[in-house]
Amino acid sequence: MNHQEQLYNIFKQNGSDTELQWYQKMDALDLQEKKKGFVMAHRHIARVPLGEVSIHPHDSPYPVDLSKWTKDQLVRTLVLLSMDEGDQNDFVQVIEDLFQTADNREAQAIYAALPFFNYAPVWTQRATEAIRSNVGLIFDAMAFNNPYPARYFDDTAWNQLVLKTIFNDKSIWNILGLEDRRNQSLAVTISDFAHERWAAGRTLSAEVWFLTVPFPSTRYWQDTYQLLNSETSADRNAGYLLWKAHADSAPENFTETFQSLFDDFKTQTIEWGKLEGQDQS
Amino acid sequence: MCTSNHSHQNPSHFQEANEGQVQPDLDFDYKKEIEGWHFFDPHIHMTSRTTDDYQALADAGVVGIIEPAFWLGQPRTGLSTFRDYYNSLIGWERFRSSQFGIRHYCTMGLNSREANNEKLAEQVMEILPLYIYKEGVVGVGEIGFDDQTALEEKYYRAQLELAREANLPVQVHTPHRDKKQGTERSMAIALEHGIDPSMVIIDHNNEETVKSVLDQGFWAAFTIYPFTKMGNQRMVDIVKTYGAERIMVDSAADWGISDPLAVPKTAALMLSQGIPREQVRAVTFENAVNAFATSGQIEVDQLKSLMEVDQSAKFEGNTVLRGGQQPRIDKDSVIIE
Repeated sequence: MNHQEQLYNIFKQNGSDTELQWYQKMDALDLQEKKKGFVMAHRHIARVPLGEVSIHPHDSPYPVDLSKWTKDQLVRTLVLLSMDEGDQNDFVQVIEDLFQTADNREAQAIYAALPFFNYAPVWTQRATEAIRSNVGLIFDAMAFNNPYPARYFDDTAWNQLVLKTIFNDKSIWNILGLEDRRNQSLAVTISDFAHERWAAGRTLSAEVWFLTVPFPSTRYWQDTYQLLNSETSADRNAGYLLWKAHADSAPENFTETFQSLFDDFKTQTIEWGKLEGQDQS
Repeated sequence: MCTSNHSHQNPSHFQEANEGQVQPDLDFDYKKEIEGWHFFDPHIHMTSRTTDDYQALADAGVVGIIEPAFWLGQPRTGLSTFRDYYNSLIGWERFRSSQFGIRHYCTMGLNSREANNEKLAEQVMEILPLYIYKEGVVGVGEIGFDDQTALEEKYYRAQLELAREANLPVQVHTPHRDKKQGTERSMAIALEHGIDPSMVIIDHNNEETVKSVLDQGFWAAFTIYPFTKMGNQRMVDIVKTYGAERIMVDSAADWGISDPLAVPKTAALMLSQGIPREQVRAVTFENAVNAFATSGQIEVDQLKSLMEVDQSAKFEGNTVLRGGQQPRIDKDSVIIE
């Protein structure tokens, strides 16, 4: 079953008769009318969340959670997929036209649909525009619940995505592929950014230290030391997890210094994603 | 009427004429007068206003606004700048507004001034249909006459047809010069195209145009704009004379010397001068909402429920930038944190 069929089945389960009829009528029209249909979907399809269902676009290891989509967004995605008539250049042009005149929710729908498109890598540059956007809706559509960046972004673009998420105080756990795409350069930047915030008397989510786990440098241990001495429990929890990940290669006397703290930690369940008590999205 | 404060003064030559009128107390605190009120400004050009204005609007109780597509003070040189302008009305500006808890709607159209550049106007007319069906687009506007040229008429008519097809209200800009005849002509042409006057909002009215507009069944909007359009004391008198039916007040605040708080200020002036509360509510909120709600693009119930506005509410299911409403800053503080 291709994506269009999969998504259409979900629409059938969620759509009313009138909604299904509108879509079928529109689906039979030519490309120009379908473009208008993409715009007009909000007038005919309810803007309500979909039920619990997820899909792996093009065998991505990361599923898109469709319960975070609305029904009119699903139908807009169907309209987009139906406009791919087999010619890559034509389809790219159609998508470009729609991007150029898109309002915020239309842009949201297109960005979220990119991983479902054929020739998906073509839109890598366009996808980074969403990450540059200051409109929350558009940024979120690309950065969160979307397997596209993990698959197609290079490290530079990927790291911008992660950093901007952190910079805007949004939860990194909304990013698909976060664990697999950790990299050395990002780890250094995270540390720099943390020090910048600390110097300004500001804070940042302790969860971000998860991104540094695979890279135990000298600096890693300095940051771990500082976190373990922090006044906030979330920071100390993060410090504990950093120590735990590389306890065997900890610097001399490091473990001994915090032994009593670690003994106390061992009696608790401390894990990434739950450092601050709850996921803050 | 003479008050005891003024009894030492000689009677003015005009005193008799003023008798019975309430003299506005210019020192009164208008914000107190409208505490707890909510307003809808159906004509304001926010792309040329700052975040301070958004904050002031929110503080004064404005919960919804309509931004008509207009020109930018100078003629555009190409289609791309038109497209980017339209995109800003449905994109960035809408987002900016949402950060202050204000619902932002717009009307889309080719303005009369730039209708005079025929080559560009043709290109704009080609992309316009893509925009008028968008979410939150509550009408075709602001369109109509400026110099009243043949080209202005051509594109006014073409856009009336667009509005008719899409079943959208029309927001009509009436000319500054030769206003009375220009207004009559705008209405006559709309009727000629078979548009129901209840779908047409005639804007920038004054004492000279209002009667005919109301008599013919159109909505009459009044722009409170210093020096060139209506003053709000005159507006109070209009409502005293004509009542509140099909009348609405807007600011048309833009890049000129104008006042984004014209609607709440006018409401305060009306209340202080004894206009009944339901009439004030009609001309500063309900009439405009009802006139443009025929577009199907205004969530009337939601807007009316904003009476109990929750400052932390999210718009458009939107995680607003930086995870919440724009934080407030203390304007009087020298310390910037």
